[in-house]
Amino acid sequence: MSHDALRAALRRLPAPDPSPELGERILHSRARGVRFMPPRRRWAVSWGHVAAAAFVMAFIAGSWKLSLTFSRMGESRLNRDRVREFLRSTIPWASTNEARALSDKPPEPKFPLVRVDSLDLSRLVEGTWTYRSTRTTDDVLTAPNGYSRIHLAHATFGGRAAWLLMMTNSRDSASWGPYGDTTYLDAESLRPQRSIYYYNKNRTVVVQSFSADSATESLDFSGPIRQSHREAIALPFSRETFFVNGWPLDRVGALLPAFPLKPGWRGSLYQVALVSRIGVRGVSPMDLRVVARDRVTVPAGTFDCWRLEVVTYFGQDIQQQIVWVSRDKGWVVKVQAVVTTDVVVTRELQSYEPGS
Amino acid sequence: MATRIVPSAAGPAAPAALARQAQAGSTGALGDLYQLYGPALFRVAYRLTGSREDAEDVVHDVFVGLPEALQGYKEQGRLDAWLRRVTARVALMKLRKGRRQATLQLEQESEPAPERDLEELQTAVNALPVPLRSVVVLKEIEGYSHAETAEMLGISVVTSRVRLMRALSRLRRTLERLGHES
Repeated sequence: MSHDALRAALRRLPAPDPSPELGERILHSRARGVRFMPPRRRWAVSWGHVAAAAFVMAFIAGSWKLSLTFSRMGESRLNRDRVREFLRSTIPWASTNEARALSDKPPEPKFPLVRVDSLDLSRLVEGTWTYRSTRTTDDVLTAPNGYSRIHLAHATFGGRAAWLLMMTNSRDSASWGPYGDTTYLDAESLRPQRSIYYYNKNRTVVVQSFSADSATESLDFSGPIRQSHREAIALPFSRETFFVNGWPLDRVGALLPAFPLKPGWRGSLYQVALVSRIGVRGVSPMDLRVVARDRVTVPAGTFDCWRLEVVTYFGQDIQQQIVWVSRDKGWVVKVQAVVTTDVVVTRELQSYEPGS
Repeated sequence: MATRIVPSAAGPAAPAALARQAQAGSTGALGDLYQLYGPALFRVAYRLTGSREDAEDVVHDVFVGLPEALQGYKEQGRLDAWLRRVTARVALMKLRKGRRQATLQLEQESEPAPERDLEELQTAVNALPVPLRSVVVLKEIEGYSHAETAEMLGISVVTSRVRLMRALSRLRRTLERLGHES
C-alpha cells in the first residue's frame, strides 16, 4: 500500500457518535458548578530559545556581580544583613495549615448521584467472601499481602430490619495489625446506621453513627499516648442519596449486587469520614463507571465481569482502582489498585460461602 | 437529570453570537454550541484517545469549561477550528496523564462493523505508540499542518515530520504483514 493510499484510508476511518445523554451531562455539570480550564498553548523549545535564555541569564548574572562590586564600595554590610533577614523570614511555599485548608475543599461528584431508589435490594444475598491480596512491585516482585473477609447477613438495628456488614483484614506485613469492623445498614436504603472499627492492634477504635440527615464520629487511641477526637456534621445531601462510611471501596463492593450496572453505567456517591481518615474530612465524592466487559479467572473460578473504574478523592489526591464485578451475581471478583507508581495491590476472590 | 437540551426558540444563531451568549452564561447557547460542534469534537477526541469513555470525558470537560475558555477566543478565527484545537489539547493532556488507552471497548459491540480493511487499519493505528498516533491523527486525519500539529504536541516541526514518517512506515509494515501488498 502506497503512502498516498494509506493517507486516503486513514481519512476514511470511522468514528462513533457520542452517547445521547452527553449534552445533558455537560449542562448538568455546569448547573452543579463544575468548572474546567483547558490547557493553554504549548510552546516548543528550540535551540534559539535556549540560546536567548542563556544570554539573558548571563546578562543578569553580570549585572548582579557588578552591583555587588559597587555595593561593597558603600554601606553594603547593612544591605546584605537586611536581605539575609528578609530571606530567613520568608517561606516561599504555603504553610502546612494553608495547604491543608486548600485541600479540604472536596471536588464535585463527576456523575449523577446514586439514589437509594435505584438500588435493587432483592439481589443482595447473605454470605462470606474471602479475598487473597498480593502486592506487586515494579511489575516483577509479587508478595502476599494478607487476606480479607467480607460477611453480609440479615440483622436488626434499633428495632428495624437491617443488614450487618462485617469486614476483617489480616495483612501479613502491616505493622498496624489486623483490621476489623461491623456496620449496620438500613435494609430499605442500604445507608449506614452505625459502624465500629478497630485497628492498630485494637488500640484505635472508631465509632460512627448516622441519622437520616446527620453523622457523628469518634476516634480513640488507647495506646501509650491517649487521644480522643469527636466531630458531628449535618449531611449535605438528601435522604434519597446513597452514601458509604469510612473506607469506602470495601463497603461499596459488598453492596454492588444492588447496583444497576450495565454498559455505559456511571454514578457517583459520597463517602463520609469525619476524623478517622487522612485527606477525607466530612464528605468526599467517589466516581464509578462501567468501562468494559472482561472474562476474569481468580482462585474462586472464572467469571464474566463488568470492569468498573472507581475514582476516590482524598482531598485533592486521586486514587483510581479497577474492580471486576461478576455480571450475574454482582460479586466483586478482583480489585486492582495502584498504590504508588510502582506498587500495585491486587485482591482476588478466593472463596464464597453462602449464609446460613 | 432535569436539564434537557432543546433547540433555541429563536432558531439557530450564528456561531460567534452563540459563543458570546455562552460566555455571558447562557445555558441555551452552550447547548446549541454542543449540538453544533459536540459530535465532531467527540470524533477528534475519540481518534486521539482511542476510547469512547475518555473521549466523552474530554468533550464534557471542554464544554463545561467553555464559557470561561471563550475569553481566550479571538473572533478573527473560525470557532470550530478553535474548538478542535482546544479539544485536541484536552485529549492530549489526558493521554499525557497516562490514563487508560484503548483496550476492549464495550460500545464496539453495538456499532456497525467497518470494512475489514479499515478495521485492520484502525487496529494498527490504535497499536501505535501515543506520540506517533497523535501525529497521525492530527496531521493525516484531522488535517492540521505540521506547524499546528507541532504546536499542539509541544514538539518541533521537524520532529512532527519524522514521527509522521515513522508512523506511516509502521502502519504500512503492519498492513503488509496482514496481506495488503497492493
